Amino acid sequence: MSVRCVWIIHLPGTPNKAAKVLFTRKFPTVEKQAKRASGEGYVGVLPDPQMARLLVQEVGFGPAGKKFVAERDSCREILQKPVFKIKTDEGEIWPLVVLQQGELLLCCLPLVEEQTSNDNNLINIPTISQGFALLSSLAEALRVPSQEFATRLTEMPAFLNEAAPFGCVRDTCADTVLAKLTNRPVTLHKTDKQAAWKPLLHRGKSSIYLGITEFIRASQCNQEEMRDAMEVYGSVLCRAELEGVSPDIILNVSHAPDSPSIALDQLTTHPCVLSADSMPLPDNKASAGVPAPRRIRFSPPSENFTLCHYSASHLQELPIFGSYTMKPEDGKLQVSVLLKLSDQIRNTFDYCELQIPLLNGPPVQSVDSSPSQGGVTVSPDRRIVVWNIGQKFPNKTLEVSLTATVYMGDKSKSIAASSPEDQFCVGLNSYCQLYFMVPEFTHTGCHVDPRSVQVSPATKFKLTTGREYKSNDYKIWNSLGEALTVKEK
Amino acid sequence: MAATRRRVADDGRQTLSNIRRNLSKGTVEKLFEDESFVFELLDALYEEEVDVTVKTELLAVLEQYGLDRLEASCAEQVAARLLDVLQEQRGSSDRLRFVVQLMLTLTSLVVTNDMLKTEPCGSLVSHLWEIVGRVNDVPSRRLRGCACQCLRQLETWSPGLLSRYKDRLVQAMREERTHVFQDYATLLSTVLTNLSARGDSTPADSIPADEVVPPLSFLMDNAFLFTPSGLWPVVLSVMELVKTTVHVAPSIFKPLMLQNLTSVDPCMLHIVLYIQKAFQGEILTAEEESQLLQRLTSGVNILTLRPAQRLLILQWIKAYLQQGGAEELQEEETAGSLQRVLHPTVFDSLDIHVDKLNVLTRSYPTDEDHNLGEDIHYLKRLALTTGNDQATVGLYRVLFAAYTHHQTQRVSDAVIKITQDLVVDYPHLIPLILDFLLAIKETLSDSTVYQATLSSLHSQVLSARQAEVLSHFRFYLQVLSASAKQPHIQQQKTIQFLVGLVRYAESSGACDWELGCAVLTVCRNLLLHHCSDYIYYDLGELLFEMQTSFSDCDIRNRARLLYALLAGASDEKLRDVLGSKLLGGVVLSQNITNMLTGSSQNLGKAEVIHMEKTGLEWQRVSLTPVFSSLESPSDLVHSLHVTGRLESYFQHLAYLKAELVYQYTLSLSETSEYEVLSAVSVRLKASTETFTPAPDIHLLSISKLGSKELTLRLVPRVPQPSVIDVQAMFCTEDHSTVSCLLDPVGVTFTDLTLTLPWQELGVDVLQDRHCVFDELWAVLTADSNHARQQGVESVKVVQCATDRIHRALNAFHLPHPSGDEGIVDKYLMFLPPSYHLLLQVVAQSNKQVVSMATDYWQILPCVSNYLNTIDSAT
Repeated sequence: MSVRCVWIIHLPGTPNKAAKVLFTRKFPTVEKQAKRASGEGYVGVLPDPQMARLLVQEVGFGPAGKKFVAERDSCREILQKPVFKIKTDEGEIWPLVVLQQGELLLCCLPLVEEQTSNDNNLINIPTISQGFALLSSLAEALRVPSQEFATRLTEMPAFLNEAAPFGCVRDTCADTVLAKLTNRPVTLHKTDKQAAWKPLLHRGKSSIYLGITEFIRASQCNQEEMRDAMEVYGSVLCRAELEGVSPDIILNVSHAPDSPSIALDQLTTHPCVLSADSMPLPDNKASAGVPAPRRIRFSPPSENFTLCHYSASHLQELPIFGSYTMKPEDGKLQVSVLLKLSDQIRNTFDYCELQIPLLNGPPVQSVDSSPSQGGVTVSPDRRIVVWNIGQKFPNKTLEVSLTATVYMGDKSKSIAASSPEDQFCVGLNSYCQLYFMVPEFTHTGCHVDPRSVQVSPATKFKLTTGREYKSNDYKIWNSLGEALTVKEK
Repeated sequence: MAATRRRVADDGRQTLSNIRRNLSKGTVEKLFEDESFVFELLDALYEEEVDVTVKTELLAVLEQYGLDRLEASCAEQVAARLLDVLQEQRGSSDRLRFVVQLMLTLTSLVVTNDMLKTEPCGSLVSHLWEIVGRVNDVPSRRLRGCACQCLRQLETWSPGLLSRYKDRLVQAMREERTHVFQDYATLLSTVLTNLSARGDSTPADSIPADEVVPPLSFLMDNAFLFTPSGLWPVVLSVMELVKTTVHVAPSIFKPLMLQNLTSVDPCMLHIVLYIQKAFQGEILTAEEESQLLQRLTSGVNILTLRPAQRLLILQWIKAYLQQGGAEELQEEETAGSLQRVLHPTVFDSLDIHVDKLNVLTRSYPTDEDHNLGEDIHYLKRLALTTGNDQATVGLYRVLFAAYTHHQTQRVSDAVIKITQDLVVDYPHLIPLILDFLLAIKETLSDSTVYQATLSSLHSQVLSARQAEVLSHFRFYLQVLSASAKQPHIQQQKTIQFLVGLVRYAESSGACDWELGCAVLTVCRNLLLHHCSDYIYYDLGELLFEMQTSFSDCDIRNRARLLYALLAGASDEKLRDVLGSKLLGGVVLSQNITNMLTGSSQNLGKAEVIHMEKTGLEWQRVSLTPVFSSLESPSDLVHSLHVTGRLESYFQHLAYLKAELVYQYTLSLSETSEYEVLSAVSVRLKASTETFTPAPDIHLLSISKLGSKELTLRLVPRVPQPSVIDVQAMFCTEDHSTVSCLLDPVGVTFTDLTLTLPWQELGVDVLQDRHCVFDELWAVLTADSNHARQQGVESVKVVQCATDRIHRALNAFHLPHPSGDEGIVDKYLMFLPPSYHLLLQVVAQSNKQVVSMATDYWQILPCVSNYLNTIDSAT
């Protein structure tokens, strides 16, 4: 079970330019296996330039771009994203696993050893998840500052020799693969058995960092027939620098006193977790007092990792309730926004900013605004009106407001938005978006209880915990226009 | 000496840059066609001067592109030399990357060149085993891990190769304490699997229990020490052993599965699913399996994961349900929970939204479609508001899934309604919609929705305005082409519509090759799928119209062919000729000539004879400017930056169409050698920069007995005086095709200076006309340094009396509002399509000072010449 080939492709800036293959790794033994397995149906991989062209076309970056292409978009074509198929003169190349990261397209071709005719069931192909995990690790390894990118790219051959010799994927954590390449010495006791995912051992002072990052997404419509939508989700990040081959940590994810107590639906965990109270919340337990803490026991790897993910579906109130009206009037827009902070939310922000994207039509010429606090500016591309609200809402009212007249510029410089969601914003259809971050706070009230953290074998360690609450895709739709919503069940 | 070393190092680098260049062009394999190139690479490996990173890269290139091109003898030589290098280098801990690459290349060489039974393979195994044997040696652990992987490759390609090392391997795996334990375990699992499957017909007895069970238990007990991806091969080997021996039960996987039910790692999740599908009902209880499905579905909604990973989980859900897991959905509770979790949210990306709905529609019991309207609400709004291709592709994918699963009237109605709404505003979506309809027709035996939707689309196109259809004919005519294949759809109206469309296109100068092809495709489908008795006259008219309206020879010929087939062949013959079984065949032309009456003689192409004098003459009778209103603003109107009264004026101007209508009399002179000319065509060869293309004029015939009136309609793009060549072509009595030139049409300055159509421009009152004049004058004569200068001003003195110039320009004069004569006389001329010439004339003794302003400066020399003619007339 192996991958036949790996490609790292640089996507063209414009659809008419050609994509460039930055790196390729072929595995001849796997290719031989593919020939043996496919017999007469064998289709070889193409030379890099052709492969890149077809791949880019298939994922929708080619000259045809996002337009309808029957060979790709027909209802008859089975959709298996992120697994793609490309058609060549010799036949089809499938299954190509593709991952996009910024301007990079990472792709691999897993070997299908026993494919019966018309069997495109992805569960039956073990290398699909291996290929995907390998690409994720490559993406992680290549996520470096641009000035270091070229150097990191030159390390890719060694990286792949370590992560997937002969295309057989054996490690898909970028940090551990890079650590293995350093081959630093370790001292092991006779009773130790080092895990393959922990090649380096920490020596020195012990410390544990546990941080919770919680996000909220919201879509407010202010329309009778449509309900507001919101989602709260988060993750616990961990970095444990502890001596020993496999120390155990036990901790509780519970609810802090004097904060909201919204039960977490369930936990999904990192493979290093040995046991966890991760079960889904029974429906009748959603609002029955303070939820029980969730206990997690795990043996941490050396690198930073996400210990668990959670979501909370029983949120009753939005953190910031907003009302937004926008009316176009003869070359200008009359805008009015009112925001009210919930008294459940900590009134201290790292940042709080409202943005009104005007992506369809002419650029903004000027804005005549009167915010109740903060300042209003226009983005450098003159497509977004930005209201920097500041670090605090007024303590008494917890309300801020903005009225503004936005003067639009030369119509001949109008552009059309690129994404379908933004193309929807024509005429009265419009939204504003809220960006904020509240430090040392979570809306669910969950935190890592510092008193519950235990390490085995017992050792002294420095514990640091942190929390932050962030908005992500927090939209308020114009109450005079239509909103892009789904109908709730 | 130093110079030699530098040269060697440079050679290595040059070879590498040559390889890189060929890599980027995709031609690196060609380098290896020359056998000496491989040895050139190998030589570089021995050179101390060549940098070790260069050597490593050369080896990697050799591994990837050079190995499968080697001859057997050459491969052995290469292996021998690489083994030498390995022997020499394997102890050097500072060259780990190089040695790792060397081991990989050497192993690949042995495998790809089928050298597993040869001496080099034996040597390689010895070398590798020697490395592997250094259990717990920390500095060499990377080499040992790689050596295990190399040995595993050899064992995979030559099962049993390492069976003699099994016991030592078991011991090594138990003793190994560094992270490469995983590699030892993987190697061992492969060796055990091959041992158990070795050539016996009753594999259950092939390996004793005490040789299998303890190491397997050890492996599974230490599964936690493996990386998720590293665990995969071990799990597959153990699964193979579970299937092939009686000593190991599937329950060996249960702890691993239960512990990883909550895992978010793609490999762990996949391993659990894979084992579950392989041993359905043998490991997990029904409750645990339901828990697994619930975890899988909730994984789609873990928003902190990469979108691609969420999509992958969705694929697994689809595959799980498709592969026998569908019975899960029989349980109402499981299905309900699945539907709740998979209902898309407004925050999902388009891909996830569409895929969720694809799974969701399949999860409803067949023929229950009550949620479709709500489910597709988001996609429908998006498609109807934006006409975006991606959103519409997604919408139709969901409709396809819904209709293939629930073939109900409600879904059918939804498809028709959405399709109608989309086509009204977004004709570019027609190919996508037709593809959907065809997919439905091909996938399902029931084609009701296909026929109903197509009929509805067909009616919609026929009721559309011709201008609209013409502007998007590439899309609209695809509907007519598809509906023409349906015998149950009446086609008389289609043909009449096409006749109207062709005539409209002709009058708009839009009869191009592409339009002709699109119309002919419809005609061909009509002939293939409909009885010619019903469409004979209408289709004949259309095809004749095409032969006359289109100037493109290809279109005319193809229309003529279809016309001939319609007129001369039976339906059966006609379908044989046009049917797909003959199309593209070399026999097509022979078949046509054999089947059509009178077409069996090959007459060759008609020759066009050009003649200087034919006796065909024409004379201009009159010129009349004709103003009419356009339905949409013309692209010929140039826009000035104006405000106030002029803004409204220019808005009217944008909708004004100005034509110069010339009447000509065409006659055949008495001296002509011909008595009668037939099929006379007159073509104006006007520059397309100056005029919009003028349609050809056709006459059935002309004789010496009488002349014919011809009307030429010219629509200027710019007011530029010009001379237009005119060509005539006709058929003579002796069936020759003759062409000749007629007197050119001269469009003069006076032809182009028209009286302003005040009423059409909404300026009725004289006072307002003065306002327009004054404001136009001000705009056109604004400061020349200003960036937005929009016109030019000029002055000319004409030596003539006031009444003379007044007589000459009287048609353009603006009388003074009070009725008295003013000091300044104003004249305003309209230059089609939308330009102006303004004159202000002041009399000074016996001369006139003419100030002029225009928004088309190129006209000024003509004005000057024209004023000179008045001057000289005095």
